[in-house]
Parts: sequence; structure tokens; C-alpha cells
Amino acid sequence: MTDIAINETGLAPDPAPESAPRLGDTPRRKRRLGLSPSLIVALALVLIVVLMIVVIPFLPGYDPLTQDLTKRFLLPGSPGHLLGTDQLGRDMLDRLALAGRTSLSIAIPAVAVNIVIGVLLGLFAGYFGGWLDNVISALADIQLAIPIMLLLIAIVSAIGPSEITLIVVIGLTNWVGYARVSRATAWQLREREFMWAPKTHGASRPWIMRKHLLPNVIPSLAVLVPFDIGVIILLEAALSYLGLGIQAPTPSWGGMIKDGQAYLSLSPLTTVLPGIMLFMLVAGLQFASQRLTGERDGVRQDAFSQ
Amino acid sequence: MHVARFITRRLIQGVVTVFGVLTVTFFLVRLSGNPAALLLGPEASQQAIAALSHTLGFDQPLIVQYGKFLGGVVTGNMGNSLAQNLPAMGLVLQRLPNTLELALSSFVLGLVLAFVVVLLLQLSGSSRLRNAILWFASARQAIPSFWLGLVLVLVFAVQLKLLPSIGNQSIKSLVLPAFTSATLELALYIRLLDGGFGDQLRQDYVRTAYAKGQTRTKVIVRHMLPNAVLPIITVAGLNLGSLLGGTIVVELVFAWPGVGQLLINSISSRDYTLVQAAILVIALFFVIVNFLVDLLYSVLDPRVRLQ
Repeated sequence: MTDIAINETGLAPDPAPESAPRLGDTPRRKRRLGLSPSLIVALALVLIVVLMIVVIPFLPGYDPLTQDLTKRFLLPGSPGHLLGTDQLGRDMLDRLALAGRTSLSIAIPAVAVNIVIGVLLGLFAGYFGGWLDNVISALADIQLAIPIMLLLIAIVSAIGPSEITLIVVIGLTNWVGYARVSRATAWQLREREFMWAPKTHGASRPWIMRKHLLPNVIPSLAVLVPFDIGVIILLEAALSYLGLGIQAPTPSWGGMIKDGQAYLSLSPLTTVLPGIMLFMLVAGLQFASQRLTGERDGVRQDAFSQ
Repeated sequence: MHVARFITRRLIQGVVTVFGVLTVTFFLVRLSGNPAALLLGPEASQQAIAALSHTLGFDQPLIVQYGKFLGGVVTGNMGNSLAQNLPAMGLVLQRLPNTLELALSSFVLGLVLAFVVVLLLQLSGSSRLRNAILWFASARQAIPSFWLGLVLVLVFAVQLKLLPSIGNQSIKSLVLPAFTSATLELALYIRLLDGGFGDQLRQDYVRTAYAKGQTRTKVIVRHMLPNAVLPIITVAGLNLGSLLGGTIVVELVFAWPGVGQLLINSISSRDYTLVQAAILVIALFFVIVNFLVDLLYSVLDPRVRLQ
């Protein structure tokens, strides 16, 4: 499992060279880090959504919140409302942009917490090994054993929904992927010369971890991040759809779909548009991540099992 | 000997999981304020809150409440639903068959179709087809199920008027919700199985099989398939458990009368005994499925038992 994890993150060369296909091999996707067409499409999708999120709030007439019941369900292309209006006469385009901002303002901090916890635990487990490794692996197993959606619903139902709750809970429950990669890398590198040589100069182990181990982990983690941001965006959208995530009047894509559902036959676009935004952003992030890792199965295997 | 130890370890792990989820929910409810005050709303008088706290036992020490709560979990008596004044566990179990119907039919449909698709892909050997199908699988994983469900309602219920969009009256009602969940299962298992086959391609036994003159079809079906399936089983188990979590969202889209819909409705009506009963049932389902899958795995793959 350790070897596979390393290969998938591109640290070690592929064990079987592409030039020697064997009988019965189905042709495999080539591992290239260049800008393949599919990577360009993926990046373009992300760029479109990010540009919308960043630019639209600065445009004149930006107003995602003011209701105008005389202008309900305007069609796209109506004067002043490029994508029409929703069930309360609010501008769809402005709301979509603000919802995207809300979504990222949860996903990015949550991923940051995941990375900090995952990398710390993973590096310690891999570098020191022994009982520490066992304890951290057990922690990872426990975390994997609890369905995150159920845990989120349980916690939000108890303490009420808020953006901070979402960030903290997702941050604390989604770090196994990062821990797995960090641990594998640390395990792989700990006997290498550059890891023990500094000890002869009196370097402490934390210093070695920070200066020599961490830089080696970062590249393989970097490609995990966009994928995970996509996962968290979908999670937040589902919670907001259930009414347990972002609360009105703050718009969220999931919440907009929930509100639009009641008017599905009257105004399908109110429901359809937020879903398209979600798909563009999540698909863009995840396709880009997959192209960069060249991963095949794209599914997290269980954490530390060998 | 090994099997017994393996089973015991998994059982303990399962109990710890259920215990953990319940304890977290229990203490968070208490931490967030008096449930009686939450239930009665901001305009309730102090006397009314105190009276309800007393009837519900919230005025007792936390540790006593926790002990009673755990006792209730063990005996299956989670108290009465605050909104309906009926045993909460009964209300949840009444809904369980609907949820199982939806979850299991999507699971089976997705898994069986994935086997068919991936086997055909391997036999055809077409990389273009494989890339296209993997692309669709990834794309499906980037689409929120609740949105896909609503788009299906829009097309098949609102526009074409072919299928019912809400409730569970007949087998036709199952089509749209099951399709919504099953496509996500299908996407997951196609990618997993494809990865499983990919891992087998360069194994020595495959080369040996070809070397002795075995046909491509036989190598794929007889030699590679059993090995490609093994890693799927663990993920399938974890996934079948969390499928119930995903079903919650789909149930809400189609007003499917299952545990998920009950759970979300009880959260908004602050019926916390019903919430806890529903969470207990979902967590138990998850743990039991994982346990059975681990057992199945240790039967199919003797290496697991020897670890």
C-alpha cells in the first residue's frame, strides 16, 4: 500500500515503463504533467467560476439580497438581470456569485485545517513509527468508521448550523487522506542520507522534519487539495440543501436549489443554475486534480492498511 | 483462532463507533443549552421551561441523564417522540423498510451494472471507450445527487409526466430516486473496478496465464476478475453504510417516507429524542454492514485472517 500511495502521487517513477507493454495490456493513460486538453478544460471551468465570484461583486448594480416581488422569476436576459431573478425577485447572477464565495469561504479554511492535522499526524506517524504510528493509525481508522455526513447532521442538529460549525467539523473529520500521504512519504524517506546526516551536526528531529521532510511531502499533497475542496463544496451544498448548512438570507448554491425546488415547474432555472455552478467548480477542481496525479481509481482506499 | 480474534476486534470497533456517535450527539445537545427551552421556543416562561425540564429529566445531573440515555440505547427504548408522543424507536423502525428499499436497490443496481460495464470494457480493450466511461463516472461524482434528482423530476415528472415525483405509492415511485442514487454508486464502482483491473494487468500470474496460451477472455474473467473484486469489497461495505447518509438527501428530494426524511423533519421540529433514535438506527446499520463485509472479506481472502 505504501508503494502504491507513493506512485500515485508522482514521487517515484512508474515501476513498469510505458515502452514495454505486455500482452493483454489495455492501453493506459500516459502520465504527462503538461497541459493536456482535458487539463485545460478543467482549469477553464474553475477559472470561469472563480472569475465570476471575484469580479461580479465589483460590478455596478451588484445586489444579491434586495427583494422585489414585482420582479419575480424574470427570465435570463431581462434588463439589469443577466440570468433573471429568483422567487423573491433577487438577481440570480449576483446570488450565484455570492453563494460561490460563501462556499469557498467554508471549503478553503476546512481544507487548511485538514492539511495541518493530517500532515502533522502523518509525519509523526511515519517518521517516529512504533506506538505513535499505531495510535495515529487507530485514530484514522476510527475517523473512517464514522460516516461524515451522519456526524455532520448529528452535530449540526445538536448545536445549530453556522459557518464556523461547518468549518470545524469538516476540518476535524476529513484529514485521513493527507495523513496517509504524509506518513507514506515520511516512512519512505526516513532512512535516507539527508534525513540522518543533519543529526551529526546536532540537528533536532523536529528541525529535520520541518526542513527536510516537510518540503518533500508538499508536492504530493498539493494535488490532493483541489480534489478535496470539491468534496467539501459538495458536502456543504448537501447540508445547505437539507437546511443544516448556510442559513438564509446568505445565499448558498445548495440553499438556492432547496428554495427553487418549490417552484420547479414554474421556473426551472432557479433550481438548475446553482447546480450548474456547483458542477463546473467541483468537476473542474477534481478533473484538474486527477489529471495532475494521473490517478486511476480516484477513490481513497482505507487509511493505513498495508 | 485467528478468525475468533478478528471477529472480536471488529465487534469492539463497531460498538466503539456507535458509542462515539451517540455520546457526541448526547453531550452536544446538552452543551447547546436546555433542550426544554429550545423545544418551547424563545417566548416560553421560566416556569414552563422548568416544568418541561422536570418531566423530561433535564434537571438531573448530567451523568445520571447520560446513564439513563445509554440504558435506553441498550434496551432500544429511546423515550417518546416529543412532537408525537409515541415511542421514538417505533417511529423510526416504521420508516426503515422504505429507506432500505431505496438504498439497497440503488446499491445492487449500481454494483451489478458496474461489473457489466467494466467487464465489457476490459473485453473490448478499447481505450477510447474506457476514457469516455471513466469521464462520465468522474463527472457524475461531481454532480450533487439532490440536484440530479430535481433535474430528473423536471424532465420525467414535470415535462414528460411519465413518472411520479414524490412519495412511495408503487414501484414506479422507486424509479427516479433509485436511479439518482444508483448512478452515483455505478460511478464509484466503475472507477474502483477499473482500478482493480489496472492493478492486476502487470501481475506475474497474468503473464503466466497468457504464456500458457490462455485466451484473453478467460484470463480476464477467470484470473483477473476474482482478484480485482477483492479490494472492492471493503470499499463497498464502507460505502453501503454511508449510502444511508446519502439516501437522506435523496429522500428529501422525492419526499420518500424513509428514516432520512424523518430525521431532517425532526431536526427542524426540535424533536431531539426522535433525532437520536434515527441517528442510532443509521449508525447501527453502518456498523452492522461493515462488520458483515469484514466477515465476508476474511472468508474470501485468507490473508486477512493471518495478519
